Amino acid sequence: MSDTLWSRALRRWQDTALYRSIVRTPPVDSPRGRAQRSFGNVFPHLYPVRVPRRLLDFRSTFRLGYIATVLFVVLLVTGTYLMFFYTPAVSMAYGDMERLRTLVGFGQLIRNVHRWSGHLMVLVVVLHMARVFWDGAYKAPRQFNWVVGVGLLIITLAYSFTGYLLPWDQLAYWAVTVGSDLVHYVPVIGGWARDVLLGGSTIGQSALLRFYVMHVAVLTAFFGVLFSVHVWRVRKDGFAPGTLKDSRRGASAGRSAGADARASAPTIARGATRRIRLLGVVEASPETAHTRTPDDEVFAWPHLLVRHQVAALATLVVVIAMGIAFDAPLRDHANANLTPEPAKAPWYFVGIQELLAHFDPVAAGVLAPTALLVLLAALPYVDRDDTYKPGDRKLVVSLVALAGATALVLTVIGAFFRGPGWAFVLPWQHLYFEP
Amino acid sequence: MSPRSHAKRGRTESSTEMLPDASTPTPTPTATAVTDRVPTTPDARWFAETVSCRAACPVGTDAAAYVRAISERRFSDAYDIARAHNPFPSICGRVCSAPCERACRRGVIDAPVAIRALKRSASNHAGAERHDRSRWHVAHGPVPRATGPSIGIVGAGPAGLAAAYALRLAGCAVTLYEADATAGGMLRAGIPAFRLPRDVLRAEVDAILSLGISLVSSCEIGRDRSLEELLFLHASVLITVGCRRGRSASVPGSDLPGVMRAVDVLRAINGDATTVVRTPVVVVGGGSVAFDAARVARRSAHWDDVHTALDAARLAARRTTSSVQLIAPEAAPRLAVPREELREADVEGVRVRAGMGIRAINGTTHVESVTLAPIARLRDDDGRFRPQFAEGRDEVVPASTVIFAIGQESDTDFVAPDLDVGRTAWGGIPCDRDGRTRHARLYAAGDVATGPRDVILAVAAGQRAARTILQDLSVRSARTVAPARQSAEPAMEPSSAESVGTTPRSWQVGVPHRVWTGYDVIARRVLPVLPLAERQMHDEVERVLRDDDAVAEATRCLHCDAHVMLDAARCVACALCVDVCPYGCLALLPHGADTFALSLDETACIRCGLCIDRCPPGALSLERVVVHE
Repeated sequence: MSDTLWSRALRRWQDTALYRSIVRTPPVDSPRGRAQRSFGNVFPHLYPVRVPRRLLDFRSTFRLGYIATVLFVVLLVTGTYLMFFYTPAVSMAYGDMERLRTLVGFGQLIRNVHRWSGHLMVLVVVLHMARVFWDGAYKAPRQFNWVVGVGLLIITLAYSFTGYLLPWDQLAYWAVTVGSDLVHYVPVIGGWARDVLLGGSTIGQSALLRFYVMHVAVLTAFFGVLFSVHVWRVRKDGFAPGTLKDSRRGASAGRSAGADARASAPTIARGATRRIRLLGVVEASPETAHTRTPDDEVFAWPHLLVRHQVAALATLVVVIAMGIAFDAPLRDHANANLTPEPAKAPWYFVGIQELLAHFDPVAAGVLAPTALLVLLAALPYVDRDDTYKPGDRKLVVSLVALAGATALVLTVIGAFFRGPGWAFVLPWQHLYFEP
Repeated sequence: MSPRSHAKRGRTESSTEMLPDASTPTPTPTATAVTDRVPTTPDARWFAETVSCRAACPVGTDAAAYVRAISERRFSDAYDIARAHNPFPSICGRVCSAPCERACRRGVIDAPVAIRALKRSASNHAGAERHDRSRWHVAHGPVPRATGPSIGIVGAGPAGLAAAYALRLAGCAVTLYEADATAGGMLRAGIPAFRLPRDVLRAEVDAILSLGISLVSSCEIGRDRSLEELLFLHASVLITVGCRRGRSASVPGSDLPGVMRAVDVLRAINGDATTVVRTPVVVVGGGSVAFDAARVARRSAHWDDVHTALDAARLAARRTTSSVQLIAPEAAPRLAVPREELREADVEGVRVRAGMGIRAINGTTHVESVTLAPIARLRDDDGRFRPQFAEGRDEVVPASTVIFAIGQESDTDFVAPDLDVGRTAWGGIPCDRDGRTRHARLYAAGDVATGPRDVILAVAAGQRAARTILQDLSVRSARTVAPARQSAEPAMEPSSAESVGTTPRSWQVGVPHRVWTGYDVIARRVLPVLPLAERQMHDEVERVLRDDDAVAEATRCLHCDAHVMLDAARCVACALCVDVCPYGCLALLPHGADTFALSLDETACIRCGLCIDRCPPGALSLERVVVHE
């Protein structure tokens, strides 16, 4: 550090009793200081002190879970901003949308970013699940965290669905109408469930208020709890063995040279003569014992932290660019008497809507999605052996891939190939799709 | 080695329940834990060996203990600890080859603890150089009256003095026979005063002699007295005459005037005799002796410049290469010289040419130049020292003086052939590791038994021989006169650098270890040295560390005698300790059914205690382990 006025002032500040009362851990001037700061300070302690070196390779996780988290934070921040200018009242909501576009500073951009981030989050969460599935990362002892993840997926979809209604335009009104009609098909409790959800049999003021409260408060509370459990378990269980074997790009990562190397990477040469002492033999159940070797690990801070920063910045760039390039749709004021043709559900439910065109409503609209979710949650308890490689789990991989492909095809057909009266339309003739 | 075999090696008493049952299965690597970590169940020997400085010291000095004492500013206690195993702390604090520092684990972080300099700090407070005798003999307690058997020792060098010291403390009547006028041997003749001041040497030797050891000086065995006479006078005779003769080189031109042996140069200058060392000088050899010779030559040339005006004028014309070149066959990292000494030699103008060898010395009536070539291979296929030159890369360097420091030989002609003790390749006396020769009452130790080695190995050898003598004497007195060893032929092999042989028997947990803050970021203290301009022939170059610096340096110690201990009953196998360890020393691995082994890599552990800070159930602790011998 050059001896500038700034650095001298910084050192003097760091010497004060006040600074030492705020940052109580020693300076990060050695591996010990680094480790001590990592677990002795609330922010870095969210990460483990050390992580496997292969995790530094982007391909190990594609940072999907982290990107989903970043998108959630973006949604929280933009959503809070939108809350300042939005009233969940049938008479006000649509006007607020227009005011956001014309009067509120950055209102349109913020709304765009909020909407695209929401859609993107659904996509990223699904991709994250696909990656975890591919790596077999839900195998013991991480089975239940997969279930928690399925819960988070449901909450994410619920976020998106409840948010869909809030603009109170034709798109919102009719998409939610189609979606909530599915609830009606649930045997026995269907009608009651829809009444609870909408506060009546049709979508009106109570539905808007309930969706709003769900969107900003109830779901956030549930999400907070499940998310904490999810991340905490990842943190405790460590990262799954993974399928990334030859981590070429990650191999050299973290072996930084230069001035900072002393405090950044454990650099002790692993010679042939290592004196390993047995400290003791511990009785513990395999579910709670976290077997771990320190070989080939690097400090999470700075190595993983820097990579996460890059992923976060890239995510921000993408959503802001999307917000600048594309405006969130806003059609005419909601009108219960004017059904648009076609009335499509939000894109992630459009596959079910497509299925409804072919099968009995109870089977297509209730049983199929419920079965899908239950099977998804049960996956780690079905695929139980300790093989991680997709090549060794051909059956389960094929089945899940088949289910995924079916859902994708149905969604694509529903979204792009359906026109008025749910008739088959080629998307280049007319595109009846708005996200 | 599997933990099972270690478990069988005898459980030692311990105050913690940390040893696993002998029936626990060996760790089986699973698919998720493929590793080369096979932990060892520790025993007393393990804990003793973990203190690597102590394990590396030939005399078993508890360096860790005196470094700890200095870190607590207890300099006098540090001195007593240092002297407990070694009667030459003031000397070793200056000239020891410091195998402890090479073994010091602090080297894995940055640089080893400057243990030798710390010993000097301790002796500076309480040692012989204080000329205050009150503390000299604290370490060994009262001296018994010399009622035991009479022992004669030939040669009052480090080995002889160390043996005399040990034998005298055991109650023997000891007589030292020294060929030179004063005691000290190679400490005096072989080490220049700028590394070991004469008053320190004298004081330390006096401290030993003052125990009641008689010194017969200027008495060369074979000339003034015969070995037979000594064998008649004494119950046992120990030969520690060292290697006083420089080995000559078999290089073409090595009989030219201007070719010298390092031992002779050092002896002459240390004896204040004048010797003509003309620049340019080339010194051949990589060891400590070569360095001393090179530094002496450098001073000598300088001296000539100052004192002999005529010579100076003549030399000035030829001083295109005024520096002294040191031709070392070993590659630079393998030079057997402490780094401080290397640096000082460099400052003084000694240019080290590592990995080079000398092919020929050229000249008609006097040395004019030498032909050098890079060494392609240092050893042959059998691992013997036999340098091979790289062809076609010869280099001619001007030289007026060539000093060889390529080895020394013993002069043991005084040992009559009819004693039938034999002769080694370097002219020494063959003996076993404990100093026993083929003659029942004749022992040998030090360089004469091992070939040229350094001071601390000589001290260790002297102590070992003293122990052997005492052991044999007690055996002999028990059996009245039985010639005990005639039947058991000792193994006639040159002894290796073995420690004095303390045997760890048991261990127990001592006081909890306290971790210093920031100890791992303190840089190694640079030894203060005499400014270059003030360096005369005999002025000591290295100064003593300031007390604050010594305490800071001692604080750098990683405290290998403190150990992370686990209370397995409290451990919940959460592996948070594994996570936090900055050097990745800990591992938690499956160890049979529903049991897990926590192991620690002692090579890397810096005793920072973070694992203990983090352990949720408080199962870990950091405690000093005391090993009983």
